[in-house]
Amino acid sequence: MKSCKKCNVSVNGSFARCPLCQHALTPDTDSKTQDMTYPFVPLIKHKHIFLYRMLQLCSFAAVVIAIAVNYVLGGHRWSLFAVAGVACMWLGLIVGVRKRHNILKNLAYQMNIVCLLAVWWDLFTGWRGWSIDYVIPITFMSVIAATTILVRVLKVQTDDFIIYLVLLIFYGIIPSVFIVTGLCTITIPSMSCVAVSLISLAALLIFEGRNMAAELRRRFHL
Amino acid sequence: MIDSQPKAWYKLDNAAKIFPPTSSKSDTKVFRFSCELNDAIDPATLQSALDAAIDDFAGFRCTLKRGMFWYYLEQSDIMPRVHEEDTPPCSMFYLERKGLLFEVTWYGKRINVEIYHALTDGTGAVQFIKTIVAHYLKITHPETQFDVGEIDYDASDTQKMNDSFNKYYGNEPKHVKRTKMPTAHKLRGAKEPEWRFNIIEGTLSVSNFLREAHNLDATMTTLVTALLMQAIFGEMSVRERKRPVIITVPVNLRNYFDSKSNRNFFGMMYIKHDFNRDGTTLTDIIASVKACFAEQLNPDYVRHRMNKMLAFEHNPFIRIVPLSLKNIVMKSVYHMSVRMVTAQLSNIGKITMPSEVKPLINKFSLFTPTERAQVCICSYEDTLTITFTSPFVSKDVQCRFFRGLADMGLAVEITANDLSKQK
Repeated sequence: MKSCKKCNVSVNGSFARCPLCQHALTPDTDSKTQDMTYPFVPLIKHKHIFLYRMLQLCSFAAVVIAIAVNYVLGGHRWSLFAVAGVACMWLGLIVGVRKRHNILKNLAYQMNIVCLLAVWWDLFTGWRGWSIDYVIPITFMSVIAATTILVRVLKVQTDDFIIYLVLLIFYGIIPSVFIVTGLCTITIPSMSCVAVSLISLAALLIFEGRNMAAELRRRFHL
Repeated sequence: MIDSQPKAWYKLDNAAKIFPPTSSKSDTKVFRFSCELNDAIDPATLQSALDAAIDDFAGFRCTLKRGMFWYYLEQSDIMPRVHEEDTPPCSMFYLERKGLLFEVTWYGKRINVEIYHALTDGTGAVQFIKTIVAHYLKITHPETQFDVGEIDYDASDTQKMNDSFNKYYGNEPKHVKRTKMPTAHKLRGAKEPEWRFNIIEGTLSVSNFLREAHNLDATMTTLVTALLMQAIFGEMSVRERKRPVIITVPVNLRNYFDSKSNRNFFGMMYIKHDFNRDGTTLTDIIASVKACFAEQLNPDYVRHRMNKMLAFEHNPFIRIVPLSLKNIVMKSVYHMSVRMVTAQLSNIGKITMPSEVKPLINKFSLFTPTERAQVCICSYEDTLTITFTSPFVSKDVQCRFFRGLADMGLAVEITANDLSKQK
């Protein structure tokens, strides 16, 4: 074992210098090389960081160029659409990356984003009602279908998906409000969405009723 | 089709509630217990030992889940797998893999058990690693005559998963005067990249150390606390001395309340020394440390502090706040409370094993990452391990601390990780 004459301690491992004072160590006479106590773990090299930074630069460039060209040519302020488009893309991307560990949660978050952004776009482009007529019910239905397929394909445990399915079904019933209040002019998508949700709810209650109640008790305990 | 049974689940205990919102890459709230044996570890045997041990610790097979109002632990079917240590110690494994809240790894002659603090505290972890090591040695040394069961204390599965905080909440003692802690001196400096931290472990003789401690009329914990304060003082500028050095020391509440729980059951003490007012010699520091210990180890004081901590979780208005908002509140409360902390010290005490396997074990040690400086102490037979972890590149405080021990005439053996090659 080596030792540090300055610190007056002996040192384990293959250190050339004292881990305390960085002074050179004195080897003992019978010294054989010792292994390090902890494994060597290199710093993480982020593989996608270059791609990510390129995307950042391209987005910024696109925004600047759109505004500049729009300013020079004048006329209708179409560059705002370009800026809003880039912002929406980033919102979806950031949420997608942050929730990447849980695909069901990711899907639920993305669904919220798509619906909110659709309503927002519809509002700012003169309310034509397409977001409520088509986007919201069709998104809800697709996400319910996607979740049902994903839990089968990925063999997700019952307890891990119930809460998302309950949440999605709850969302899926919302379009009934659109129909009752006359908020939507085209009722077929909304009606289908409500029907799909109710059937899913029945299926869930019949097959997983007890688990569903238990999961809700756990998730909502005070 | 047979209905799957709803899973067992547990509320987080009071101390555990603060960990999920405040865990970060720089402070993962994971701690590691290691046991170094005489021979290299055999992975297959370690796996068998873990499989046997997990039967006694069924409650540890849990994952952390997010509810609407609180986090909770949910029983899981995942079987823990051992693997060779290949990541920086105490990483956030529990979040990245949606897995169990503990991990068993090996490296060379060492068995490591890393546990997320929301699951248990040091006492529970010691029981767990002792059981794993005992099963391991039982397999590798079939000639040894001992009962692995005698290691674990006599408790049922429900007693082990009991929330003792809840059991003893209430009965507020009268006339407890509490001193409010001022803002503490803060360690500063460049930090290691990627939230890595320096681990420096000093091994010395328990009997020699205790002799020195008794000469100074101190106990093991008080002397190490005083030496840590002195080491920190050595690196303080004159202007920084206007703030006191405050070291937090956890108190094992099992010493005050009857509990066989393997969950968290500890309180905190704040040990304060003001170098401008209370003197700078080791004797002066020991005097303040002893006074703080005497005041805060008083049973009434301990109960008062525990009740205070529990009042938060029992407040009906706080309970109905959604978790995402609660997290913001808990984070800010935590950040305010760490302003009263310079460093942390944790003494897990004596670890005992059946006499038949004593010669087969070299030492036990523990450490945990921190944003400040942390000293962890444990002893096994006559081997005392004092592990100093710190995220700072500079190791001047550690150098002063271990030189302080060596200057008492104690033979100190240093074991450390080497971050210099990793840059």
